[in-house]
Amino acid sequence: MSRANRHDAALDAALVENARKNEAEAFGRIVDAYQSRIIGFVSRMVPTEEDALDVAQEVFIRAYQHLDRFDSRSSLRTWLFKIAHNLCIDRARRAKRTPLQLSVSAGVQGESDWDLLDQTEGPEDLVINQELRDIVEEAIASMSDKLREVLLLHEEQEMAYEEISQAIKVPVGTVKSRLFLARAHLKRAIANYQNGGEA
Amino acid sequence: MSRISQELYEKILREEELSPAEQLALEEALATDSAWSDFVQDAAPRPEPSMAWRSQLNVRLSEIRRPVRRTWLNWRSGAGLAAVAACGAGLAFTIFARSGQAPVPAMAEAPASELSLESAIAAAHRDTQRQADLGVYIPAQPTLAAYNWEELGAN
Repeated sequence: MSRANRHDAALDAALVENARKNEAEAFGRIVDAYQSRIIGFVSRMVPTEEDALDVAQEVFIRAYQHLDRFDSRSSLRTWLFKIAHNLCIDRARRAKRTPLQLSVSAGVQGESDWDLLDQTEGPEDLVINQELRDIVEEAIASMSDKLREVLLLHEEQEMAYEEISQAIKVPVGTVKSRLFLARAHLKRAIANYQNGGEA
Repeated sequence: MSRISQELYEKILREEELSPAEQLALEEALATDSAWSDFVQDAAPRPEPSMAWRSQLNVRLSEIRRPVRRTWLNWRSGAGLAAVAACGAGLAFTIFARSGQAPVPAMAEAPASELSLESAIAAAHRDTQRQADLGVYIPAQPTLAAYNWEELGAN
């Protein structure tokens, strides 16, 4: 679990229980623990930072309103990201971007993609500089929402496949497939960058 | 990324159901290429929420009057406590009403064999008290006490 994602499950359960008793302070601690991660995720799922901050607020408002519906079968983190996922979809629908209509292959089409997968080494051999960061960020932004959310939940939030499956309501196998394609998309962008092309 | 056949790659693209062998190949490909976390996390700085953002959220949260969860158990325990308290109060009132007044602390009983002036006064007081408690009056019988006058006179 990453530095950002470490949060005690027992503490989460206690905070939820206290927040259910209308203790605003307890809910405030939940916000403290998750606000950066929720904003980080949402900011890559909606077009502008203003939208991201707005959606992130809405995530916590909805969570507070529906705290009684939360059960301990999933973690608080999964539940919050589930709300965030749903709100991002709603926002995209309202903006008529219809992300769910997009194919997962958006951004990873063509036979050459598969060729590139075979040729490119993994990220562990790369020196991350600002230029490469920009390339990766562009690649993340350009992939379909379906791939992006799985990539972010797994690689950024370090959620397990099963947890992602619960959060976005797709089978675990689909999560794995999308993660594979998202990584392939990143690899293609990096390969293009290394070959002097564009992402 | 480990080798994966083009056929499998295309099945993954189309989100088709994979055979167990293909699932295994996909699992291996994901497992051998798992160094992306730092890469993705470092790609872009996380936007940090401002104080204004948090204040606005707090205001919005404070406007929500979320109903406090009231379970049947909570209701029962609350009502049960009230009922017990009411019964206790009723019982105390009944006892108090029957006795007519608050009980008076009894004086310490002196041993009957001790025929002293003090014990005679105490016995007379107890008798009077009992009669008062019962609401009747019985003239007190003179108590024969064998006083040691010599001893009294000596003091």
